[in-house]
Amino acid sequence: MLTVAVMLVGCGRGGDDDASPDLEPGAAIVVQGRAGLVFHDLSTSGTLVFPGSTAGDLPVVADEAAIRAASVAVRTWLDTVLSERNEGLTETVSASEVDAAAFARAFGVDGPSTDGVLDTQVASATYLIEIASLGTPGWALARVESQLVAAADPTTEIGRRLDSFVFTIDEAGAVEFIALEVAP
Amino acid sequence: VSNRTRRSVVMVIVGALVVLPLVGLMAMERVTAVGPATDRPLAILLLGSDAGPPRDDDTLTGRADGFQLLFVSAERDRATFVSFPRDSWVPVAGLGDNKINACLTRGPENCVSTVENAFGIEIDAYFVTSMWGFADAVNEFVGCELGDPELTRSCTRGLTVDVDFTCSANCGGFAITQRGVQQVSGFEALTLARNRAQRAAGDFSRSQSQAELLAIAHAEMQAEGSIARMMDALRILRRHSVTDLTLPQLTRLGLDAMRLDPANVERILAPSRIGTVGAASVVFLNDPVYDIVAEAAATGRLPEEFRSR
Repeated sequence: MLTVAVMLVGCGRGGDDDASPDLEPGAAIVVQGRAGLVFHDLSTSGTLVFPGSTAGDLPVVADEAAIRAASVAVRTWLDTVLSERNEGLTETVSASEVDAAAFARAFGVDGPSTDGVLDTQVASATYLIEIASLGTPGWALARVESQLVAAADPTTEIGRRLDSFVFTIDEAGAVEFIALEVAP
Repeated sequence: VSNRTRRSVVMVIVGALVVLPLVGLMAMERVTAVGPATDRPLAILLLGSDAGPPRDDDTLTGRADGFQLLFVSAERDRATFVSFPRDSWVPVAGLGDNKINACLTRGPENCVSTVENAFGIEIDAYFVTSMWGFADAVNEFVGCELGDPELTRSCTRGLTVDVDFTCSANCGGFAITQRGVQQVSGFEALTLARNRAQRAAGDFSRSQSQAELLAIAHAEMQAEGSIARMMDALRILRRHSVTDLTLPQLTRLGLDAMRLDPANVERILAPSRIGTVGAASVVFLNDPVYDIVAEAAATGRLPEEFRSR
């Protein structure tokens, strides 16, 4: 499969440096993940669907600006959700069509509650955002690796987890969250 | 080496550093949640064109020798394939009474109209691929090296199929050297989808094989239960076929497929009989096929008297 890899790195704060040593135990961390972008061209150009030089075999020009904009929208959405998670909230997920219960259970969130912060927090995250397009982007798969820390000691990593989020992207560039796969 | 090239190389390396640690974390128990299904059943037309690679003509104006209808229930918990022999004699849109595969000579939309008019149902989407497009898609799905079917291929896995015949060269695709349960690449899958000379039921057998291969591919994808694998499958499907679905629609269809238990996928060959029209050998559809299509379109299931066949 013809895959063009375009990386957006250093677009946000991330890594261990994100966890401020001045945080008091229990303070919610605002997540700004690092993002990598992989772009998949889904046109039939170069496949064995059409013989060469027929109309269906013509390359489709990728709208790079739209792809980057979709990537930013996905990254912003993930930042919001992980930051909400650190506050014990799932409001952004709950507002989607997706059943938020699985997310809430897996992430140790009880629902839209603000009763203090969680025992663990996501100190930082890395997003691998795969966007598929036929000229304009049509869907995104974000693989999210989260660094977990104890709320009482946000400078010490206690684990990592990998989750996947799926989004559709309409012709106007609107990004909609439609599915997730969360690790235990 | 230009600065642009160096930047690209650096970016790809950085990308690999981001990706590889993620790959190492893939083997974990998963919890999946997806949005609700829509409230109406789906009817999808799946066409295999006899044109396009390896032939020179256009995939989208050939003859639809692979002709499958897939119905999915509104709840997305049931699905049924109805397989049509290519010589099924029906009123073809714009062509009068004709073999059903002729509908594609006027494009896939004409096949949609043909089915809608013949059976009184609404088709939601179509997919069309060529012979090599199909082989390529299967090869990619199961991890086989791509290339000329005459070359020896190398596969990391295959579709697990129970094969009931053998054939040598020129039998529809790649030679099949043994009977029984085996893992096949896209090349043998193409043979299974095309070969009729070596099978007692000829065109009927290959028509059933086409649906069986699709059901097996679904079961293998579903067994892995990974959203990433499903998205891989969607990419492969879209790259190796032509469809009128938008990418967001295709994404939702893929998620529906993840929820569908393969045990709830039924298959049936359209009840029919061989006959002639003038000098042409054709297949006449028997009356029950209309009830079968109507029931499947409404519920995603076969009528009770046709189940478990």
